Amino acid sequence: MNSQLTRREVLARTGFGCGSIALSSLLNPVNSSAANVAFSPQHPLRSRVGHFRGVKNVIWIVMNGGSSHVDTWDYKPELQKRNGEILAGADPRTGFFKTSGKLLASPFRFTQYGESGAWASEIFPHICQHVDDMAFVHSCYSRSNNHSPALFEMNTGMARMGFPCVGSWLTYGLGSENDNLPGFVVMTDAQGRGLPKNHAQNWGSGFLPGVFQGTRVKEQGVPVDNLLPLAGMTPDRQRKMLDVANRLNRRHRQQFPDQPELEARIESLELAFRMQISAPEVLSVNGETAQTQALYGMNHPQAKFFGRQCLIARKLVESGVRFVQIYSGGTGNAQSWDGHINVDKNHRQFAVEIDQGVGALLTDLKQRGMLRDTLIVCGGEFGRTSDSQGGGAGRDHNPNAFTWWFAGGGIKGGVHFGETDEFGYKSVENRRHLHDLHATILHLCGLNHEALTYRFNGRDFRLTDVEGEVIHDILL
Amino acid sequence: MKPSGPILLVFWLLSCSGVVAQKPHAVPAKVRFFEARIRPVLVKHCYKCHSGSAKEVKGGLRLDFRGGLLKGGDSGAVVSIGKPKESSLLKALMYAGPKMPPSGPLDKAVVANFRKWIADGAVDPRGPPTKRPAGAAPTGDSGQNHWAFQPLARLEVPSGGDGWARNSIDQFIAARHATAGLKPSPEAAPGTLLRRLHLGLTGLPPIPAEVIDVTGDYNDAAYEAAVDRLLDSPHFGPHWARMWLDVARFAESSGFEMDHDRPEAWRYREFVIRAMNDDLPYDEFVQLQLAGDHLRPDDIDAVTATGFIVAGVRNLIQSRKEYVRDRYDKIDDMVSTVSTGLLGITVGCARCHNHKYDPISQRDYYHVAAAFASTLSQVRELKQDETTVRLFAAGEAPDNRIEMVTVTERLKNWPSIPAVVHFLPRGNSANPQEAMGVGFPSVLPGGQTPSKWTAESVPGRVALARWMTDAKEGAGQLLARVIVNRLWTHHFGQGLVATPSDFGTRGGSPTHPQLLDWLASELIRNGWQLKAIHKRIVMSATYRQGYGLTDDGQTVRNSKLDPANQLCWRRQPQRLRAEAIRDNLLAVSGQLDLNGITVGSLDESVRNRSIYLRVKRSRLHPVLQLFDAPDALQGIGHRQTTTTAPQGLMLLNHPLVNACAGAFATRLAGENPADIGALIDRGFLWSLGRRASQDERDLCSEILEPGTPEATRDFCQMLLCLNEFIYVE
Repeated sequence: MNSQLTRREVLARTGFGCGSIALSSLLNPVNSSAANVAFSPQHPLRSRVGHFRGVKNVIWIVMNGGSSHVDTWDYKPELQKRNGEILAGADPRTGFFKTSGKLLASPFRFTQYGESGAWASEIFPHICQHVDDMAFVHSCYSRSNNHSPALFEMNTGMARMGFPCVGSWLTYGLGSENDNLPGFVVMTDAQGRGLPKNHAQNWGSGFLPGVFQGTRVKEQGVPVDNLLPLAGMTPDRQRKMLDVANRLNRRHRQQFPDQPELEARIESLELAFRMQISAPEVLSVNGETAQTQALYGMNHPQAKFFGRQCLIARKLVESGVRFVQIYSGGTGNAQSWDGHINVDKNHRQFAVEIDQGVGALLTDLKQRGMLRDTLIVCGGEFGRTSDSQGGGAGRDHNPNAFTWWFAGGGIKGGVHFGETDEFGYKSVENRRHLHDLHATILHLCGLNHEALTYRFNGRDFRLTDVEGEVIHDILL
Repeated sequence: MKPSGPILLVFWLLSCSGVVAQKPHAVPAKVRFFEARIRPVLVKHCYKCHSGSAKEVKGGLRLDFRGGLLKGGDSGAVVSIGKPKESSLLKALMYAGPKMPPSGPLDKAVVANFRKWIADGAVDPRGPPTKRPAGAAPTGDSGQNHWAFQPLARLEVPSGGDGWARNSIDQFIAARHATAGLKPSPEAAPGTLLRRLHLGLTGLPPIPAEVIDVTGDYNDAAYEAAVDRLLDSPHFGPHWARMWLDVARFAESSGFEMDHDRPEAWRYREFVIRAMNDDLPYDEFVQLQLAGDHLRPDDIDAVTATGFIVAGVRNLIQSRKEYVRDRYDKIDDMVSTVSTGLLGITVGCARCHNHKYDPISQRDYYHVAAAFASTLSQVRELKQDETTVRLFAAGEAPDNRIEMVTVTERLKNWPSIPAVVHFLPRGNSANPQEAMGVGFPSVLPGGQTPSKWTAESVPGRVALARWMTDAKEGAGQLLARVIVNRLWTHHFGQGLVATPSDFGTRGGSPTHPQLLDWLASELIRNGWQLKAIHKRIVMSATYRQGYGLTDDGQTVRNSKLDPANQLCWRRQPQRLRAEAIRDNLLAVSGQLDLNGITVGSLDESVRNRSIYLRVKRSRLHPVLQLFDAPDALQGIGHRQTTTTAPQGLMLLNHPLVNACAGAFATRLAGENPADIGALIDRGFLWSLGRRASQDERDLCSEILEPGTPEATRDFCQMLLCLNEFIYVE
């Protein structure tokens, strides 16, 4: 009887499997997979050590639609003073539609917080309690002013389709800490407003093996495909079926001693069996105290949806999931941070939805001592214009200036890096492209972005293409 | 090469304990630093005024070659090696003294890089300036002698392989065995061979009657009869078409934000299936896909074939700022797909600069791109017997202008640009240089005399198609090499060249260069008929080998000499591809609907073969994705095969597996439910193509003992979970 493998057995055996693969790659470099990371196709998610020490996990909160920096974290007193005045040098083609060239002051009140005295708008009362743990990059820029390519650029560095996203690169480079869960999990709008634009293509693995694509945990029903046994199937029957399959598979395996993939497949069936029990536990908040649930806003009518996702994100990284991405907002413009018409109404609504959950996540991770091993990233595909769209109360897309913030392992708290001009229209000092933000994320995870490569159609591709500079100023 | 202890250990450590980065060909660290940190800054910020391409070289200072940089300008040296503080270049960058670049100070980190670079000796590998225009082909590059760019060798089939060889393929294989000290493995058992043949040629399993027929009275004639039957089977096309659809990044939607359906795109899939079944000569197959709309404008099949060119993604919401770049991206998709898919050369790597490794220049790239200057995807209507047929195909831009695309109503007077490809330094579409004419990579046959195929009156794609299929003076010989290697790859799990879409200097070297050239020559000689190549391959003794007995001394020796089986001394089990796994689940349970369907289905409950499931880019089929089906964004020559727990969950809990297990149980029980031994045998015959051994019968009886319908169903699901079911031996 050999049905339940102990973890040690699995490791021992997989160590062997890995060695065999490595050997064949060595003797047969041409025929080895084109991968330049020693990931084994039989154990693609096995945890791997990076180039140097880094954090274990990443949680990325995506401000889907492009939140406005001048209404959140990039306080611009001149903009507040000169509402309605002409913005000298304004380019009406900055955004997707047409902007007025007239400054639009932020409708929100700004106050200083923390010892670092960071300015923050009133719409994030919970998150702003953490400014001393957060590092802000105010001088971000990207190349596309159009949601779809911009989302690809945000996720993959390229404003085109076909390239792997950050989460895929990271799980390719590091594997995952937990065999019983996907290594890269995505959560999307929990209020029925749909997937972000580009849908599942946002978390695709491009030319990397499909196993590195994001797995979406659904908000309703069975959270992960095929997770629960079929109606009418009992654990005993399933166990018996697998036991016989295992024994037949082992007899078959003996005929093919040099094929470790057959062993890996036997293990994968056992892992699947165990996932049926372990994954639903992690994906449920029922085991959390009422106090914790309240912390995450689960009693708040608007904050409870995103709050629950933040709590699940904590549980996922606690269980060793490598990368979690949560999208705030859904498909349509008005259903995301895409405040074309009225930035006041739009941003207040989405801020209420995420503020308590994100704040709780920072508080909770810190209390549990997990913040030092986890990187929190918050940012979207672009910022918004300082001039109004068509003279109204909304702002158009602005790829020339936006703010991302980071917190957690390896991050120097209270730092503000880079600057936009006096109206927040363009990044002017220490401008940083998304490639630089990506390089920094990989660096914090212990990966050198120039050395993490994958050979595809004759070229060694990187997440950062031929660019990318780590932003050392925000690092400890 | 024998594995030695220390090497094994070192590699094991590297592979298991960390990420192994590929070292870029032992380039010294300082040169790498220059290339990564210094050169791009010089190019971007200094060359405009301080290089050979400047309109007027300012201050007599050239920074585009080592000599110029060291010499300095009118006011003297700018770099003092090892002494950043004394280097005026650094002072200028720090805006202390002359302020450079004039557009504004560079980031502190960039300046710090210059300081470090000068302190470290200002290493600069750049040679003297050249007279050739920017992006022209490098000269004297050793890459020009690369094997793939040479004509096919004229070969004698080697002698040898006595007593084993069945055809010429085996003689080439045996010759390599002889020099390497290898011996081929004994032929696999008849039942194993039959299952291999069926799955290899049609992607479907043999039915028990066929198994019993062949294994009962097995001989060479019976084997050949099975080969002929399967090559003629209508199920051959749907299986082998999938191989091509991977290369063609085929999908039925546009991708990006809207991911609009392409309800007419299925006709291209159908064209490929039919081409495979009818054995359309490969040169014609290629010509039609590149230029069928010009070559036979009234022929529905020919126009449909151009679906190949335009199967890639297309953003249907463009902003004014980026629609020009978007157009070049679209052309790049066509250039890359055509060059890697058909010729195994990575021309796409030369969009921004000369190819780093292969002798392909940036000008080569834009010459090939020019063939697609006005190519657009279009929904076209053609008349066929009174009815109008709608096709998703390639066409030329109306009025020779490319319009911006957007669904936003608010835009009036949509902008457009002329349908011309310009040379773009660094691939930057904001800086178009001269308009480019159609041409071909100069390193390939005919590449230096494109006018043999091009002319004002010949559309670019037609010229490209004729050059590419011209086996005498054009690239036809390479075209043949690439396709025979694709066939070999799919039959054996690994190609004669391990990188089927990259025959460049960084791709794999052929394990059997002579065999590759011989197969390519055979293909051309027999009029480009692929089925003849298939038949030669599956009739060979090489193909018919078994795994080798594990306790046999020769097998042990072989596996020490060539553990990866590069020299084909055994057959290794291959996992079925995603589509075949699903098709087999349906087939053994009697659920498979072998009819084709037109518009691909998104309904997961349909029972047609997987190739008929719709490829919608934002909603890829979950089961196929689990088993490594591609995402249809770039052409793929070789899929990875991963093993993951979610695959296991699918086989445990997916409704499709449940339905198949239930139907399979009904099929088995229907014949004679009381006789458990016979039921087990039937289960094995259907799912594994063989009878159960006594031991296996005993084991399976444990599940079946209760004698309930659930027990039979569980037995059936167990069979579907077996490695033997999803691996072909």
